Amino acid sequence: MFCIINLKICTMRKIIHTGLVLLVLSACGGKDSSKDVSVDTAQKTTEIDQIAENPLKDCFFGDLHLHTSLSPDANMIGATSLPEDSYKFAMGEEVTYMGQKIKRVAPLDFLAVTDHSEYLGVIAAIKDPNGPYAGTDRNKLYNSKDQKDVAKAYADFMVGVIANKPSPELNNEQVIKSSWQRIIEAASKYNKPGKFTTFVGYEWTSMPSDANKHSQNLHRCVIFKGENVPQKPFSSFDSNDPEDLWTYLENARKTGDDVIAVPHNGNLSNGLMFDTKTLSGKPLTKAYADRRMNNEPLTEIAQGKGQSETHPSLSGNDEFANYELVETLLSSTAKAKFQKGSYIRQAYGVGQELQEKLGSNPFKYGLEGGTDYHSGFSTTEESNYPGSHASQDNLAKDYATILAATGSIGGEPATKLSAAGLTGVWAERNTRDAIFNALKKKECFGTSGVRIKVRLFAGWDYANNLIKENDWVKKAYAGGVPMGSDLPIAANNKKPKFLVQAVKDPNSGNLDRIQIVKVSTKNGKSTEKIFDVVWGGNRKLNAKGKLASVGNTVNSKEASYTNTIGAATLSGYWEDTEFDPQAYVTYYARVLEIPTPRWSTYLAAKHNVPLSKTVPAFIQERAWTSPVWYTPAK
Amino acid sequence: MTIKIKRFFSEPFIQFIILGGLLFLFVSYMQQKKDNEALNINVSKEQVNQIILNYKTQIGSLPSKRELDALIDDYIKEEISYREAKKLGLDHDDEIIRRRLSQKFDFLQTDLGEIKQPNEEDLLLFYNNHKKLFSKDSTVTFSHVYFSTDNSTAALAKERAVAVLKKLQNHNIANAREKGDSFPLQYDYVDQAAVDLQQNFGNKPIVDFLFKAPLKKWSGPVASGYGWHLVFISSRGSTGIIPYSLIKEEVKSSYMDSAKAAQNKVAYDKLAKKYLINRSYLNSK
Repeated sequence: MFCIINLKICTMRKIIHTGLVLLVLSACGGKDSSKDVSVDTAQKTTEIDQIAENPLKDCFFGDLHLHTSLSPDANMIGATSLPEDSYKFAMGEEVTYMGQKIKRVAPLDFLAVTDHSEYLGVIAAIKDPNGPYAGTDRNKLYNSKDQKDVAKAYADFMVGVIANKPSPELNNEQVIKSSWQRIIEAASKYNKPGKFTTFVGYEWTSMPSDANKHSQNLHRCVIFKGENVPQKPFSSFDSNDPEDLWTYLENARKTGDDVIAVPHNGNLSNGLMFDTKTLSGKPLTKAYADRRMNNEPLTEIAQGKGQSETHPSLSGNDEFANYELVETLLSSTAKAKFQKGSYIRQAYGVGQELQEKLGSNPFKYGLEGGTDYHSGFSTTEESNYPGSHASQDNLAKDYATILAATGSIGGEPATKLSAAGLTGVWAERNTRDAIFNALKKKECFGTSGVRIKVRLFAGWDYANNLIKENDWVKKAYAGGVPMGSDLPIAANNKKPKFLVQAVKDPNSGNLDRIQIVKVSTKNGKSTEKIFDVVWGGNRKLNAKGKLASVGNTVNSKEASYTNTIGAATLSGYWEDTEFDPQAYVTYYARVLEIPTPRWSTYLAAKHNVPLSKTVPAFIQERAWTSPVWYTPAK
Repeated sequence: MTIKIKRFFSEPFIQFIILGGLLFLFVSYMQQKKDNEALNINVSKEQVNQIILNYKTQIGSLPSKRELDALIDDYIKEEISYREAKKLGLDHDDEIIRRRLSQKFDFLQTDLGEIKQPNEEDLLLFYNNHKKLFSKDSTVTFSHVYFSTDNSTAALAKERAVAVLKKLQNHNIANAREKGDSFPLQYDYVDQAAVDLQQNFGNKPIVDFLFKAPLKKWSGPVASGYGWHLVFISSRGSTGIIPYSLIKEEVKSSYMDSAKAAQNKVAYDKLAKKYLINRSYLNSK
């Protein structure tokens, strides 16, 4: 008790201290020093200006979705990392995670730490022996190692999260604001223009459950272009309706830096993510569609908790649809009931149907990928995956139980978590401006965690051998549009032509094939079709237009494979001979790797324990480009 | 009689008794006064304000009248048990209290003095004296010819590379790339650190090779994540020091960290000087 009183004084001193710093800072805003600041900014701007630009763009890889111990759930399950650690790891430094030294084989080029805004930093503060909760019962409970107490503490904070009604004692504004500052400062410290880019961001964690008593995921990661951001993140406690989030983003843009939101895990939304009505039950309008696309140009196609491209029940003709499916709704054991409205491929069709009626497409999403890991570390390398949810899948310690698939994260066994995904961006250089602009223009793609470099261009006049020329990229930009763009209207019955190139991840398997997925809509009816465009090896399309499987070199006992099948580079040309100028069309490319061992297979081989029976021993990693769209002339 | 009395009082023993008695009375009076004070708990206006402020800091709103009464009662209860605990000497030899007090003191002591903003000269001096902090990884600048294994085999691709190497042995780097296959990325790489190579070519033999193979001549073939390569290494950047002008900000932040650490050490040393440390555990017997 002695401690409590004094601790409070101690905290007060900290607050006073911060206050003083703020005072000093604001005092610096005087005439003389403001000159210094502008000189400083000018100097920085010149430094950034000096970073070389490649007008034909380079490919950069990063993660726009990652949690540290500032996220309450991550903290509860034992994550101890802070944003600083996340950036260090992404840049290639070795860090300690769950007592193990971990290091990426290939570092990332950019990263946004996106902690949950609800109770941001509060669990960390509750546990802090010097924090505002020191000496309280919560401080004791949350620090307890007893599993019963851990469960109690988890329940204590989840009540408000699930009901979306924050507990006043946990919804500590002061802590949330200072945690937000901490995130901004870490991003500021590790942003190295030309080398490594950081973004200030957070996750808005809306998961309405009124309708069916189970959480339906409508989460969005919010990514700011710069550091001129609102004082506080907008949380789902403020509102769980995305339209209110957009208002916050619109206001943030007016007073500060540009910002986008990226919805993710449609697969866990139970049909809500790409619903044909608003969350409040109103029919979609043109204004809604425009607003949605203005605020959220991208959606996350793959991450630790599965892919949201499509589901076998929606895409019966797609033999690759049954890939890394996760269907158990968050914080429940209930499986998602509705596939429609949950996966982007089907949403592309629905979006076009709405566009026919409304004049605007609410689901004209570009694609990206992220991890959503709650460890603080973007560990997307299959052969180098240490687990991603702290105590819940501690692969250093609990590998045998985890492979036997008894443990559970959000209702699914930990083996079902994927070592995925990443965002690839085509940008002139590695700076905040260039990468953010590329994201906004949708000149980016998502991968299942590998670093496949894929280009997609569409135009009306590309020659079929252009892609073989050395300067094909230059000509492709000049004569058409890259991924994420609209095909302009063509004259006189031309067919659209596509150029695709994929270069393998040099640390992963060869490439199997590049496909173009076409989703076409006319008179309120949508169809999807997949075309194999270019592939490795001497395979031929069969009579039905199907390409034989690439084969499989995976030795699951040894967790090995060989690159004797597939190809290192695939370059292809494709013309849509079935093109109907009266139909709305979304085209995107999908690149498949040859089968390689899944992380669970590497783990089993490493410890000489049986393979998991819950998941396949191998996977076909992949990349999905942002689409090119075609809109018929009126 | 008076003399007797006088003598009586002039006896040193008697004086001692009397003085002792007076002293006893005084001490026990003081003790009682202290005890009485020790049993007083005064909840001042300042204290209540502090309680309200703490509540507001933690919860974000002001406490209601009922909540405040409860908080004050808590405070009183806490103060009583605190004093009783101290009476019983519970604060002595308690590891947690010891550590807490030490932490609290450290917190109050750390980063007390303001660090003077360094000028250009300070920074340059610091930079020159701590060059190791600002060194860069060793790098390599090279060109390569690529031999793809696509639609072929690794062995055949390697054979082709060996054949081309023979022709290139006495050549410079100009136009060599055309002797191999088309490479989808770059042919010439500048200042690549090992970590860049792992990103661009995979964690494969080519990474080590580029740091070992002879300079200014074609060598290989060596495997990357894409296939086989012949490489011409034009230079290697040693573990050079990054020019000051490029990393001013880093120098400044290292300078501030180092200045703070130094200041904290000075403060501690000054304090430690007051104490005589007897390391009796070192005595051999």
